[in-house]
Amino acid sequence: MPFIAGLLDDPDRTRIRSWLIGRTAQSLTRPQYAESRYRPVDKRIDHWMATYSFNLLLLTLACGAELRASDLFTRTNDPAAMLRNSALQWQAAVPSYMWMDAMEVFGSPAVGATVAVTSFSSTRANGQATCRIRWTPTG
Amino acid sequence: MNGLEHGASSDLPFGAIFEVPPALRSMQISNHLSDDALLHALEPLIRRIPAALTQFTAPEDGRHSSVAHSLTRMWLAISQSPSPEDLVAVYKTASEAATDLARSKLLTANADVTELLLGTMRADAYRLPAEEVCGIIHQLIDEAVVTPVAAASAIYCLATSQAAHDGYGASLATTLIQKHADSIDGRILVLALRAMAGGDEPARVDLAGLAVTLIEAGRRPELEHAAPDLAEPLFALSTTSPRLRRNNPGSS
Repeated sequence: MPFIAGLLDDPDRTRIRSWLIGRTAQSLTRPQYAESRYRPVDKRIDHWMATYSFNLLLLTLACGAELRASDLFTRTNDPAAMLRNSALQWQAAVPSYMWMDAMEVFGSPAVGATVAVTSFSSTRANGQATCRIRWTPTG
Repeated sequence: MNGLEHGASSDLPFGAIFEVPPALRSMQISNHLSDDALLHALEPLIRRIPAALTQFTAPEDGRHSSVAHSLTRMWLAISQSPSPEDLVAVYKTASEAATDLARSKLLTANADVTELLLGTMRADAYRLPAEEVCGIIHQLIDEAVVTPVAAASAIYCLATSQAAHDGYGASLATTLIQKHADSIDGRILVLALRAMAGGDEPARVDLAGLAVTLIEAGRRPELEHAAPDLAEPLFALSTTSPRLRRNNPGSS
């Protein structure tokens, strides 16, 4: 991630980021499977698609700014729930050690992105989930 | 989970092969309401003793048990009026959890669990068999980190279980008081000293040495004020201690 973040440290970063957000959102909400010859391991098609969106997410985060669930899921009342569902798909699609490594990276100030969740008690009212998940940059 | 090969088994304690911070982060972004509720319930314990989640003690009845599980069982068991045997069993399991943490060099977690165990045991000490209280405290003194707070709880348990009445319990209380003479709460000191002085085998306890330690720790005025009937004969003994004579050759 620090290497990628270095590559993206460019005057065009804002433009690149906004393009990446669009691609990530598309890969999550209207995914399309593209046959590729590069298949280093056996995986189900849906897992390849989830791996693709996860990589796009990492690239978007490497641009450094805060990314909210509502940036990715613009046509829903509950972006947090959609992000949570996507997280479960990512978790299923990549080996657990890679997923946990990614969780380490998200918390590391070196990368400038950490995951913040609003507190439990203030976000559950009348059984309605209003919890929003944010990727918050710290760097 | 425990790093063992498939099909292998072990009776040893182990640490689960995941780190708590990234695991929590993973939960935070993928949890739904029910998972959140579970995490919320355990959050205070995980925050205070993260190792409680990942450290598993040696099997009891063939099953490994996490430190968090042992602690929760202990806290819940004490409110159900269990038999003294059942109570002793949950405290012993928690004590094993504490010493396993020490063996794994997780000393902060060990000190926390020891404090929690002894603090919880204070409530039941009066109905526990004295020799079992001694056994648990002896093991913790030998193998765990006993903080001043834990030591105060241990001394209280020894006094209220009547363990301090006999030589074994009194010697454990003496060890703890000597080590933490400057910090033990005065009321607990009085309770323990009364139990030791009025016990079956007061002659076997080095009360004179203890009196010297307490004088050196500056506790004499406080004890004389709180319990004059106890303090007077106790501190009179100090003049007979070889230690005092050695430290102050002119005083006798």
